[in-house]
Amino acid sequence: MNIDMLFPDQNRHVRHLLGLYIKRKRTEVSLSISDVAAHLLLSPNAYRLIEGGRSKISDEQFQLLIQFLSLDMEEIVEIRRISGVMYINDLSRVLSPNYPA
Amino acid sequence: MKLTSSITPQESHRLKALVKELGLPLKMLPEILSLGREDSLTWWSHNDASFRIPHSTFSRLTDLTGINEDHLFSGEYSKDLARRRILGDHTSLPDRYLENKNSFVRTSDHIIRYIALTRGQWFADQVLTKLHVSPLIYKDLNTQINLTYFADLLKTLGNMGFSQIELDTLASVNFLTLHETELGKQFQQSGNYFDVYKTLAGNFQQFDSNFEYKSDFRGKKYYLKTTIALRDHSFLKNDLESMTRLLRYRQILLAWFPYLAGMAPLFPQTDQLIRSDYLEVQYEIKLDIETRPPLGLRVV
Repeated sequence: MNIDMLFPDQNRHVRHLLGLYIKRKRTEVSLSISDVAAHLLLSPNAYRLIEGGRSKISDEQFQLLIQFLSLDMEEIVEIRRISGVMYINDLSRVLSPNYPA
Repeated sequence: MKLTSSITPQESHRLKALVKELGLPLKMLPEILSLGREDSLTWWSHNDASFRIPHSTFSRLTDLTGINEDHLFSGEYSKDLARRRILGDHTSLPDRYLENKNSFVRTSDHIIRYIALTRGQWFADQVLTKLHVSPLIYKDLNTQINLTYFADLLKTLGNMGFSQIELDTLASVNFLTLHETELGKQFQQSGNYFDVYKTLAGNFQQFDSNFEYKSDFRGKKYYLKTTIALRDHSFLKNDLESMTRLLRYRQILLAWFPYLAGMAPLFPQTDQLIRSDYLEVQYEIKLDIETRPPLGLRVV
């Protein structure tokens, strides 16, 4: 599935959760950052930004990651749902005077 | 001491993956690998470390799990069965969590699933091991445990690098699964905030029995008073930081029930009274916000 359809807005919550998830999948198969970066034709530093949630993922990179790290579509959909919840909480933090300090 | 490996790099990779799959505690690595403690951890942390790891390592894993070496290596085995054999009795709890076991582990299952999704099962196992409970404890969601466990879980996650935003999210994530339950369906029938909190007021016992609840609807406000006798929770009563973290979690939880009916969360004003042996929290929620605000929220 296309990443822009799954995550039309790769906001910081989406990037954060996707980064964690990708890191989890990479370490589960004992691959190094350099291994995955090379597969995506990225420098290790550029790839670190993705895992750190500081860089958006292009659809091409996403498709390569799905194959290379065996990303699970059900888990990605769950990531999408959680990122929505995280976004609403963050919005509430700004908009609601009663959000816990 | 770095030596030539006697298992291949591919086997070494698979061995690491197996350790994670099985939830093998790292303290068992030296015994499994026949290496010293430091060398074992170096092997674990570095992709390029090549130690002399005997092939008998796989045999030792076979002894531990009772599963054929080839099946272990190929991944064609029951992970549940292997984990049960390695991790043993999951029902024994430390004393700290035995006092007033008024909660079920089900109430924190969504947290463990969140950890496993974002950090992996192995990380979730480590969290539980730090709490001195078996990683298998969530196999039976009706296992009873106390409030101190829940407070310790949040504290441990904070210590393991979870940000405040992420800890706050854990309260909200609960609602993603709650909407699939019978009670969740009751909430979905709500036409406004009043209906939501009326349903909640009639069902507190389904969520928690550690606190006493007193609900009151006056005018366009919902007042909720929750109290807990801290003398019944001796490991918590002098831990103000843990109590504060717990109350923050509960405040967010209370705000999120309208989400089950497709409405925006409604954060209550709170007033806390903490004494050495008694805790009281008053929540006040204004219900006069227009019905189904235009945030377009739907549980998906």
